[in-house]
Amino acid sequence: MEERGTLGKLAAIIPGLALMVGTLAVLRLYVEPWMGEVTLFGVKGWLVKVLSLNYILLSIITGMLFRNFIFGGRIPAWAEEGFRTTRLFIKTGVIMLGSLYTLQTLLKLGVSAAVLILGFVFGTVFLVMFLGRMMKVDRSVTAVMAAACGVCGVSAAVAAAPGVRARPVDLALAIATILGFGILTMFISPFIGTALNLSDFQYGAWVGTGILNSGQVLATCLAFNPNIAPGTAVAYGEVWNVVRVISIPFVVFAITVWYWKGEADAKKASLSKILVSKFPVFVLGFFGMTALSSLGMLGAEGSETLHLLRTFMAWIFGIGLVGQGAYIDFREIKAAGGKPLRIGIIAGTTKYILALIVILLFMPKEVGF
Amino acid sequence: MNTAVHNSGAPRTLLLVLDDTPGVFEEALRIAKQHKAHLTGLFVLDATWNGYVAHDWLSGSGSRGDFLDYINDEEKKSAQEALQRFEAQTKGVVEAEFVMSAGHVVEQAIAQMEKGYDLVVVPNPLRRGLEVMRDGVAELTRKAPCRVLLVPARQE
Amino acid sequence: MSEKKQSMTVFRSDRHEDVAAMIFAGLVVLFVLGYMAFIVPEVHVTAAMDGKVASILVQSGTEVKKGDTIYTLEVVEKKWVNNVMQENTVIKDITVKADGKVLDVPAKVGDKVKKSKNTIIVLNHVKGTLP
Repeated sequence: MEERGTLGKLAAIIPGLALMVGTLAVLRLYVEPWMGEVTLFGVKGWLVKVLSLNYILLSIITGMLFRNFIFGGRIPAWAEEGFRTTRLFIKTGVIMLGSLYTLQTLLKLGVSAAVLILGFVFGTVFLVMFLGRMMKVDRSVTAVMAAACGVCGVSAAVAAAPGVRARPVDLALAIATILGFGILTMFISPFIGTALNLSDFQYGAWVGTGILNSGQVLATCLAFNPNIAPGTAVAYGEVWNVVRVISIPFVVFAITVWYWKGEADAKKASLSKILVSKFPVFVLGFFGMTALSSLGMLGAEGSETLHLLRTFMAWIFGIGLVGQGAYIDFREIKAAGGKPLRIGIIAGTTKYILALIVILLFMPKEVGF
Repeated sequence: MNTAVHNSGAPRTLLLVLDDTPGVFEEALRIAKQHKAHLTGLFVLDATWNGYVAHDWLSGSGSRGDFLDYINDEEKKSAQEALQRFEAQTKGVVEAEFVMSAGHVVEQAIAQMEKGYDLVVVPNPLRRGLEVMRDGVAELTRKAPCRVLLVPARQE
Repeated sequence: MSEKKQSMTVFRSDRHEDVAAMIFAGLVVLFVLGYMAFIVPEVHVTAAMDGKVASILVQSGTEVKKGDTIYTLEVVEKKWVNNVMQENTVIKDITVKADGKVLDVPAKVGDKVKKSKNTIIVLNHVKGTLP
């Protein structure tokens, strides 16, 4: 690949980006309205009502179809740079989600989210360490799986790996396991949520706590309820997501300390260094948006201004999710195996079910927004 | 095992796609010695990790950069080890050359094959870099421009 | 090893990408606020919720102030009571979010309306306010 200037790099983004935008436009403007009208098995809108299909799930599914069937397993070079902007879109959407809250609501929800997440993070970390010892797994694999299952999935594994000297092959297996589990739960959670009659608050809290890979929390919330407004599943799930993301550097620090304690050539981990190198800066943008919303600078609730802003958010998420789908390679996920898979399945299932039980037992249906 | 080789004449030039599958190196060396062929060992540093974690939008600051650097270093270490092992085992035994490239493992292997070899020896399954997660052998045999010998791992 | 192949996008690190996302989000917000406050010639105020228009308190030409009730909606309010979703029909007052003058009232009393889909009034809002 020859060296390109900034303009060249920007131009390289256009084809893939155009495909993502075009795909979403077709899905939102034509496919989704059609699905609401079409009668299957005697029910009007069966695809929407029974299969919970909406533009969010369709975006991801179409992205997966691109990658696995149309592109034959690999994103082609012409589309690669464009598809890589998926992260930029999702991050932008997440920052804009900050506008759904005021500082008070954020604080109120944040505290319950933090309590729940903290409990589950440490619970899962200990469970994985126990499983690691039982299965006589390499300490570096245990450390990566503890970070990944404990907090944010793939991003936590990526953050923890260099500090605990994980072998690339183990990392590849761990990432495939986490991603596979995340995708599975992303598709089944909306059904479970509907079947158990969960409220938006309970659903957001459950998937925010229980889903292994945080990358899938927002998508599964939007799949449950595609509305973006205060009091919807995504508004709750996002608070959980933000708390989890912020906790990554701290969990990585704790796990790195644990890892080096057991090694002969002990190395010292520094929290401040980890914070500087791992802190997710976009979260600051999210808080900035909440501050603007608290000051009433983004228009009143129910205004056409906020409506337009949320329409933009929906498009930005949708575009990003087409790209997310295109990074899901069935072959790679199918190849997940070995000890990371066994640990992942046990820890992931335990967390997912336990979180549901805790939510059903202790979480009210509604909480003031 | 190498009836195909005999049927079409003895190979003069041999390419071995290197990974850490036990027994494959030895098999390639045996064929090279038997036919007094030139053996080229190809080590591909896997540069597709960026795509492998590209879906992860939650990484902050230098997290992904550090990760890719770390993987890069690990790959370089593996390459160094492969080079040392290759040189130690071929020195004075056969005429040999070590080639290193970076990129998608199968793509790089095909590119090297296109330079013209009589036979390419490939571990089955191919376990270099992220090929442990993919069916590299299927893609490689489909696109291979020359004869391919698939060697399964030696039972240890 | 080809470092270029490992470059993330146009951005060198996640930090750059995060900052770019913040700028992108900021630009979108600025565009929406600027467009709604100054550029949009007239605002189609759509239904605030799904429901039935119970009454309309303004007509073409009425000057309205922020916070004035402009119409009422008969809506089905869903509430969780003892783990059961209860549905009650209530009348909701819907207020206008910016000062301005009503240009048209396309909705009629008794119309069934969908949230954010059906226009209730067309408003010429005072420039610089967020309708």
